[in-house]
Amino acid sequence: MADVSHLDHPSLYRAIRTRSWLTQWSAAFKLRAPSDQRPAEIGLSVILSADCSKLVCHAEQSRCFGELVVETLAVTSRWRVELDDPEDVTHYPNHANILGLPLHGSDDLAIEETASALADMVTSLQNRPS
Amino acid sequence: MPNMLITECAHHRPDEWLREPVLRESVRQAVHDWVLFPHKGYRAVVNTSVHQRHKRQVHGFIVYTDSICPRASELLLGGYVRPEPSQTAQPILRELEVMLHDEDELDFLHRPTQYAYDFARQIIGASYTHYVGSAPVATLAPDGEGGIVAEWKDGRRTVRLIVSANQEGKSYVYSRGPSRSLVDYSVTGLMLSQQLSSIFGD
Repeated sequence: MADVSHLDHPSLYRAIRTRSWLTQWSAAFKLRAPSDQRPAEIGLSVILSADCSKLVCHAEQSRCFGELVVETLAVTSRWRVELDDPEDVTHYPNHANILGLPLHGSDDLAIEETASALADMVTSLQNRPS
Repeated sequence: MPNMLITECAHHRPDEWLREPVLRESVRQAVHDWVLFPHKGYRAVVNTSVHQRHKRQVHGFIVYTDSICPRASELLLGGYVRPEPSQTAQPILRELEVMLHDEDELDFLHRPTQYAYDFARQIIGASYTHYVGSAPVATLAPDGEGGIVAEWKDGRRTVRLIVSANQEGKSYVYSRGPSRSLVDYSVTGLMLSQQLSSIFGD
């Protein structure tokens, strides 16, 4: 799978799934545990563009309050950011994963430090158009 | 009524006073004897008559000084107001209550479990009965699995209470100051307050 280039995509967008992430950014940057609906997350889901409208959510979320914007270069200087595999049936061209973050249930200090680091990289917040 | 002279007192933070028996005794004695106690390097004469009932116990003393010192500073500096510390748990406990009424999604739980709600309420409520320094107002967020994250953040200084959805999960306090970060699993209200006053005590 190809890595995301900051030249092609200068910014990455993390969808804000809950209103509380508007004020607590670090909560948006942790990998989640496995559940009945999905396996454990190994990558943090981001989108490459977010020109959403009231009716269209580019992150394809049922509830979305906007996006936290981070500079791609800042992220790729510490972690890999990988595009979806075009061969995968769930492939979505606007989607990528930040890889190499500490997994849920692993080193708690590393998890919190990573969430803090990514929250510190947020350059702006886009509210969902209403 | 006697007046109390406030002078330099930044040598030890109140949480350090409480942990150090010798200093604790000194503070207790100081209150009883009406001797000088330190604060911020300023000098002011403050009428303590309305606060007299607070000065008999060390804990009361801490609350008392935290309340009175900003007023002394304001008098001395003509309008200077120290950032108002959040000294009550009520706003965050109300926010916690609101979380119970949120709507879950299939793959993201917005509502905390009863265990997470009870545990967070107990720990946060207990923490604010102790000195928490100038801790900012906390924010709450669901972890998506029924757990709760409470965060106190001011610039890079951060304290987070992570509450798992159930008793089998890990709950802990993460704190990040200018020179160190740590995770502590012995979660109690006192421990949380100590982390808050340690990170935001200045």
